[in-house]
Amino acid sequence: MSLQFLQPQTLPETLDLLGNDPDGSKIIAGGTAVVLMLQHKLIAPNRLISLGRLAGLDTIHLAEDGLHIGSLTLLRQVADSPIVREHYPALAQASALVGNVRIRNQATLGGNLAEADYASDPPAVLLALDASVVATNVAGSRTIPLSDFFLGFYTTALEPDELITEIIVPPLPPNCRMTYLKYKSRSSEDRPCTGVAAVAALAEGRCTNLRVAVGAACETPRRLPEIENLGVGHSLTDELMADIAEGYAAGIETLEDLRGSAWYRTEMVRVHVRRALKELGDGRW
Amino acid sequence: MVLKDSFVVEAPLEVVWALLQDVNRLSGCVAGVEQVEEVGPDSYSGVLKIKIGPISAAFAGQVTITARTPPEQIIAEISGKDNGSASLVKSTFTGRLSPVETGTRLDYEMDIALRGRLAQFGLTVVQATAKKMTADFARCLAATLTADEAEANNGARS
Repeated sequence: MSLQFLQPQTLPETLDLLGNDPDGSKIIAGGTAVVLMLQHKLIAPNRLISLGRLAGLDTIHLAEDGLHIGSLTLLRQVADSPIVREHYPALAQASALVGNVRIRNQATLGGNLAEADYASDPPAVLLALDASVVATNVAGSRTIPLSDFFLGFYTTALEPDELITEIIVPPLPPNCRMTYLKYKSRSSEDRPCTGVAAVAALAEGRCTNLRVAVGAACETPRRLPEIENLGVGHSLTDELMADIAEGYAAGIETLEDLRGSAWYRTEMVRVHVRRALKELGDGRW
Repeated sequence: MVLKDSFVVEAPLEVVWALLQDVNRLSGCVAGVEQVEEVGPDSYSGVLKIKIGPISAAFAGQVTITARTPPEQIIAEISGKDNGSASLVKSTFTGRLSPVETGTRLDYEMDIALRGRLAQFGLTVVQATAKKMTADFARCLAATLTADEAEANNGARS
């Protein structure tokens, strides 16, 4: 059977099409991941539902409940957005580090999350920022926190008839600093060997809130709340940063691929968690 | 890629050995295995369906028991092909049994070679999936044996 290419004009029309044949359909937004999978014949959907003609899902705005990013916002738009750069600089940073400019000008933030590739930059930052996705089907919408969203390799909590329509990043505690460190072990355009996102609120030299997410090192991006809590109430001394880095290195079962062995990744997690915290402590962000 | 692990089940060595000979029951312990048929002496065909996110593969293949040293060691050769992704898998399974105080210890080793598009696309993902499946298989085997043992004990009492 030949592959059907559908181009709905509106969101309800898209959700209808998806709801009619959720298992035989594949959503295509920027296509940077889906086209590769199609070329390799790893997926064989009956029809592709393109989101290319949908309007209104590529906006970024700040509201009382946080930052709202439409799922079809390009990674380049996220990276360049003055709002994102001012309020959530690590998200702009991570988005600017994905692939190359041609990829970023094609790939969407919603697509990046829905693909759930373990070796990716935005998921770790969004997890550290306590972000959620809004998943919509014909019946309505639900909000899924990112901590519950990634279930495994290329596997998410999305139902086959659901589409990500929005990404919401809640407001931050006052005096927050954040950074994202992407570590590449091969070429300059490579996916990350490890990615570390750190967000800390500091008051009078003490850390009042700390979140550290590690991506690309294991099946899904990870946070270790018990290790994060080590930092709360204390100033980020070299010793404490080393302890937290050690906690992450010991607490994450790293995977092995062409970008590095499991042992190497564990060492890189240790190094980059410490460096990320150091950046926050030094006030460079 | 070599996957190696061991587990202990509370059942006598002979019982574990007997289960290892029963390909039909063993295949029930691998999620996604269908259409198991005996195609010759110690040789079975079947289909293994796996799903990793949006990627699905159906490996049609054969399992052949190539060596037995009762009741200690069994070696099987496994091969399969997924037409959709033009991928081939070959594997050698070696299981070794030894008596321990609490029952029987099974040491297993699986040497898995994967070729084709699936391997090119994400060997890491496939390896991790194989690891998970092997661990699930071991857990299921242990559960089956424990259940058998409990049933035998109940039978003996009544």
